[in-house]
Amino acid sequence: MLPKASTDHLRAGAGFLAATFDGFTALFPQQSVMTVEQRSHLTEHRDTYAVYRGGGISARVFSLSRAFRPIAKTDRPYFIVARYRGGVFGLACDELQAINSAQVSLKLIPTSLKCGNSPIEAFALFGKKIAFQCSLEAIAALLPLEDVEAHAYEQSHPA
Amino acid sequence: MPTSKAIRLDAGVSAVAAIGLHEVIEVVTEGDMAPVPMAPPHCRELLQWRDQWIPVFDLATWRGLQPESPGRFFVVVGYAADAGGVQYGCMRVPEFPQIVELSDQQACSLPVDAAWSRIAISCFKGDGKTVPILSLRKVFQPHDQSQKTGAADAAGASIAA
Repeated sequence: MLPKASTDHLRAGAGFLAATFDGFTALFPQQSVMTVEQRSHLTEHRDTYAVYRGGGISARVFSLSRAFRPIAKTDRPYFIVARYRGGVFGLACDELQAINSAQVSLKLIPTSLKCGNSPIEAFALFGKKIAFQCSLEAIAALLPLEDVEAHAYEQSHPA
Repeated sequence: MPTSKAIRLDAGVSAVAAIGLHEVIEVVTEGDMAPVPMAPPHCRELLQWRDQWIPVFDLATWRGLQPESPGRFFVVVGYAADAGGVQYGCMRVPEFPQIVELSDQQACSLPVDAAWSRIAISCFKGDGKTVPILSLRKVFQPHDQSQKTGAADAAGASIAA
């Protein structure tokens, strides 16, 4: 069996949000997701990202390939804005589904399947497919983000 | 003369290796596969086996070979994990694995390219070939997260030479 006990730190108290894009399903802790919006709420469209402004949040919203590379595709119907330790960013999705922690049994991704900068930390059987628990910090490190997103979040959420 | 048995995995001219017979659980030819993004080219899929998903290590790809079609045999293996307990993985090869009987007289040094030394623990000569014996723990729990391929090491060795 692949190790299970050591995935406890990945468990989200309030459950996960399963976000599907480019045929890939990522699991994020629900507590990290600040808002779920429809595409029509995007205010600006640039080459590799769009911009969302609302509720005191300013965030770049990316359409990612399954290899976590920003692509120009902007017709995904939904997006989430998530917070990570360095700020916030958005992610466009084809499908979104909230799931209870008890519905998934996470297993750590085997080290042989993981390159150094991969955001994938664990996986779980989700319905008939595999979903991957991803680190928001590691995804952010792959994106062209600027401090403006972090500052906007800090200003809207003073300590 | 003391002998032991091993399984020989043949994935191409420069990709012949062996593992202990006791480490092999079964050979399967089909199963659901799940690709894993941002994984190294030689180990980028999970195979559904029984009630779990296990990593698939493609020996030919690890050696930098480019076979016309991916190997169709999945050799499911079990090994003692770093953290204790038994872990499972799978070696993907194009040829059905062979059982070979080894004696101490067949022992030899590892090939000179550094790639094998990262995943092999010993070596023997058989049928005119040098055959590294793999440590499955090193194959499936590499400590080097950069996951440099065997092909990259082999290229480096030839440049250095």
